[in-house]
Amino acid sequence: MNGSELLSRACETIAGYQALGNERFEAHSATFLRNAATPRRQDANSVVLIRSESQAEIEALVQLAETAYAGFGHRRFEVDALTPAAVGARLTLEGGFKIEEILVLVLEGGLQASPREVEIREVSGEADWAAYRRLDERWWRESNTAYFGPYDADLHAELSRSFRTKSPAVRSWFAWVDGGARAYLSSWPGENGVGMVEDLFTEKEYRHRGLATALIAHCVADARARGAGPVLISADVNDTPKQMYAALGFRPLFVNRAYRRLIEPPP
Amino acid sequence: MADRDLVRRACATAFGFAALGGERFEAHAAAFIRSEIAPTRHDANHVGLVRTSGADEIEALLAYARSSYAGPNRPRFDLDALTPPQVAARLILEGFSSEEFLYLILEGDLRARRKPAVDIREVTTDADWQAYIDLDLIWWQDLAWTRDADLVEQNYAFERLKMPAARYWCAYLAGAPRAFLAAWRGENGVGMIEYLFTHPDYRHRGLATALIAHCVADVRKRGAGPIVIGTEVGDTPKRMYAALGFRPLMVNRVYFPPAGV
Repeated sequence: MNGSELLSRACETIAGYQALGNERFEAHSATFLRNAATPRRQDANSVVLIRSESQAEIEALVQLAETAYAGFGHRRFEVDALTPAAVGARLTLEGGFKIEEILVLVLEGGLQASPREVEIREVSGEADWAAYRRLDERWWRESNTAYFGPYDADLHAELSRSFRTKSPAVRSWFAWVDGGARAYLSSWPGENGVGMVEDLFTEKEYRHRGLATALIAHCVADARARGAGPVLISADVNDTPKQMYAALGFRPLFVNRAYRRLIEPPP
Repeated sequence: MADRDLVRRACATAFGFAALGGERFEAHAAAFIRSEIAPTRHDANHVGLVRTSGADEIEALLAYARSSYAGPNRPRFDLDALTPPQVAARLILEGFSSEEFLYLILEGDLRARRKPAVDIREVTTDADWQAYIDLDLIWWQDLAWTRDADLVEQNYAFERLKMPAARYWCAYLAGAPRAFLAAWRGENGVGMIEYLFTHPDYRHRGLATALIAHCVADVRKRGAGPIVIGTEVGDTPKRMYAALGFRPLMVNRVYFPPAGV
């Protein structure tokens, strides 16, 4: 796969993962994702793979987003590696958007790690999903209040519901230590030969014990066993895991930017 | 002009304007600007027009860039709309942080309602240049930038070298320059206007609009068609430019090396 082919497929995979479980339609050279059952899951209600070039088409796209997401609490447009430059410029001119920058890295060869023996279990059944949610709550409380605000059980239930719709295409895995789930990660082979591993978290007390590396090795192997060649992983541009991923052999591929604007709810 | 071609030319023009007055050279599918007289001025010492995408080529570019600038400073990288995305990804991994700049373009006529009668004069003599500096220092003050004498001196020595390719214009009111704007015709049919500033006491009197109209006319007379203007993304002038008929073309990002490297 040459460089531009890899980039193009990587963008499709990132968007494809978000699309899983949600309504998807194409308009104005872009893909609209929507799910009225989980309106607060922002990446499930988002415009992705934007390829609109002309000023007229970009205006039409922005207008359609107003109609398509009427009543939703946000607007979200993803500017990826292949989105024409005028799209980011148009959104910037409008203003009011927060830009969430995600570094996407790709692993083409083997993982540069010798993971230690860790018990990995697939998340399956209600008891497992309850355990997943308990860990996920810790992730929220620990690292994600800046994004989602203070912990909100009702919102968390909605986000979790959205996530579970991706199963079984996406498989989620626990690192199981001391009789419980201590870390998780999910794997997806993609639909075009480029797969992805996503949503990595390790409970604070169990860090620096190789759980994350073991999960990455397992998930890369699973995505590849199900047909993927190159495998993507994403990291917050300002966060430290990106260095760990690079040390494991992932190389930086592109920066994905989500332009996100919150809408005041009607009185 | 098709949009892709327009973007390509606009990128070249934005870099070309920054390069005026500096030493320019090409290597590793990128363009470099270096200035001996202004070694600490960021935009006089940077890498732009980066067009390389392979992992090994990017490593070679970074190594070459490190070795091409004297002193402890590593150059900044100006990544534009045509820079392969792998480059920003690589810089982020190394801890570079970025600032965004919005570029707008005017293809048709300026949509200015009326042309206020403003006395616009070109900066040509030493006295004109000093008057320009005095006004510009108010802008520095506005930005709370350093007034370090050395830095100020190298800054203006570099900027003055952009003339005569670029022309600087001042709007005069009550016997003194109160606003300025620079204009460059470019080298590929796309021109640029840059460095717009109005003294805080003289805003909302049409000086900026008059200068833009004047500079647009000047660069078009000298051969440019479309004209780009850059602005900080959080800044308010972007709306004024859009109201004048400039449309948003691209967001370029300046990547600064991590502190202490």
